[in-house]
Amino acid sequence: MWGQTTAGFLAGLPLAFLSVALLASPLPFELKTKFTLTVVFALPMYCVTITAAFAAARGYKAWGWMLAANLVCGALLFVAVQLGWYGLPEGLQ
Amino acid sequence: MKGATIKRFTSLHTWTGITTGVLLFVAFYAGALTVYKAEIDAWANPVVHAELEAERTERLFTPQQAVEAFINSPHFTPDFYLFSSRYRTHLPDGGETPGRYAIYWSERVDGERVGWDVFEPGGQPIQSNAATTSQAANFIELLHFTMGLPETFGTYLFGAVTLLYGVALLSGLVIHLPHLVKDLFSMRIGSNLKLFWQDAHNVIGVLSLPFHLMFVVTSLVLALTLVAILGTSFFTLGNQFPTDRIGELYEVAPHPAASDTPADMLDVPTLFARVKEIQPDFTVSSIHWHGYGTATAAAEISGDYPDSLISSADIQLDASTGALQGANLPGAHNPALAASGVVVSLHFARFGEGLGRQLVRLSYLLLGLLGAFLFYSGNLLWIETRRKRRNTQQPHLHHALARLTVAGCLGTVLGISLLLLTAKLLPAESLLRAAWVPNAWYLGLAASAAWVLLRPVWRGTVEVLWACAVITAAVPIANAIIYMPPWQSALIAPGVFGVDLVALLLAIGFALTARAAARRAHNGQPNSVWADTPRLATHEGASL
Repeated sequence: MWGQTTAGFLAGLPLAFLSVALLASPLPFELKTKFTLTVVFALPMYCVTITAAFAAARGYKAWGWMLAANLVCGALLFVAVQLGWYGLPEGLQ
Repeated sequence: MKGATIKRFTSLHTWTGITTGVLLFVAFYAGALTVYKAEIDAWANPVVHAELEAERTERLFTPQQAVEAFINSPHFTPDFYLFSSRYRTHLPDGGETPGRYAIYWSERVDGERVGWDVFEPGGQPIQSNAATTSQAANFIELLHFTMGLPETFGTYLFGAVTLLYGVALLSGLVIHLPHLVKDLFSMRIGSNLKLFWQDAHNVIGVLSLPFHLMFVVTSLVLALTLVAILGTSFFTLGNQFPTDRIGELYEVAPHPAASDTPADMLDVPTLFARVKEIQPDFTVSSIHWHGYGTATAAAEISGDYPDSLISSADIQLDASTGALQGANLPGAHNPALAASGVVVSLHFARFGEGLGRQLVRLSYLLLGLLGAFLFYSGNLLWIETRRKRRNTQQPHLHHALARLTVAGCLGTVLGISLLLLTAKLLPAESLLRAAWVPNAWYLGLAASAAWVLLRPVWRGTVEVLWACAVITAAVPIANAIIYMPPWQSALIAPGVFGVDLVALLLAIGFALTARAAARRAHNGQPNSVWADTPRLATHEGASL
């Protein structure tokens, strides 16, 4: 259980922020709104990622899934930022 | 779903629930009462009652008279608010109707922000956190998100607790999802009390699930907004967000730079007329002047907007010309203000109109109290599920958890009833009351903890429950003696009557629970922390 717990709490934190930002990025809103959506839903998503880590049967599998998900979300968000779909809120750039 | 997976989620649900159960009980019990903060405030503060009387009959003045008296007083400061009386309700349409209005301002003294109120023209300022508003209602609200700990530390602690609460909720959902409907209709009321408690825990959990999910999201936003902003900046924007400009996310409009050039200010009725031109449905609750009397003065007018989930709305005007500087209205919300508006409306039951709003508040009270029961019953279930049926001695951990649950949960109940009594019995607007209202809660908690530690668990529980029943019953009795009997308050002050009624119902509930706990101790299954005398089990199928 320690593997799932550490994977959920440690690797789940960046995954929560990255996944919410990624989900918000294609929405037809201004950047400030997307930033706000990430602020509002990232920590609730953290509850989801912590819980999700316990779906893995073994601790190393939980870490593997979490790190892979972080990599995928991070890469896709990078693309979204390059496309201008996500970034610093207007007026704060 | 595989048995091993269910087992992992059950373990996660149990441990996150056990570690946060007592703190969540405090948050839910105090939070349920906080929905009726204004009513508790009115109940606890006789000065406000006196003002209410005066509001109906005498010493009336217009909002503009309140403002003029303040700007001509030695206390004048260019940054101040105009409110409607002490209840922060709406200012009258047109801003001209005579009534009772309050001026509020704050200043920094030795690094601490100190607020002041003036309640009538020429009146002496009264420190806001002294006895002018009820410390009782304020302290119950503080308990809701700090558990009586220092505010910043307590808020962040509750943020962390809310995270675990979210995990407990989601893992519980995973466990119960396959038989969600079955759980809803399964209520085994019989000789086995453990099954009854388990069913009650599951039914309440399933029925109030949307309510709890909403609370996880809104509580995390309320407690950990700064963490979420910094986290978003760090993980998604490479730490590029300028942290010194976070406040700009929440501004209705940028506040103009300070000026030394004097200027004539628009009066309150003119500001109202200007607001009505911009948005006819807007109901004003307060006006906040920035830099009053100067050329760059701004009037930030806050209020409600009907038929909208985000009922809070703001319009910022140039205070000398009435020019619109910015607005936060439905359809044109600032995203950050819209998000915080939704969160506040949902979390504090501030949506709906008229009867609908009252029903929303009542359902929040009931669901909040049921939520508190959910956490209390969760801890009881953990102890009972792991009971050593054939051992006369139960593990120390069971005794410790039982004591912690009783001391924390029932100590909070006792403390809150005790602080309400203290607010009622001590003279209003006295420093003694300001100090002893919060202390009464700490005293109630400490006394419960000490009592439960000194007595056997079952006996301590029964006695603390009786203490809760007696002290809570004393709340309406004290009000009837000191202020007015319930048959009068039901007509004159329904909110005050409501506080008395809820206290009475809770007192009856605690008395019934105390009687049930005593019966269980004497007649229930032996070999439990809740049994009076450990003895060898003879019939396993008997009640808990």
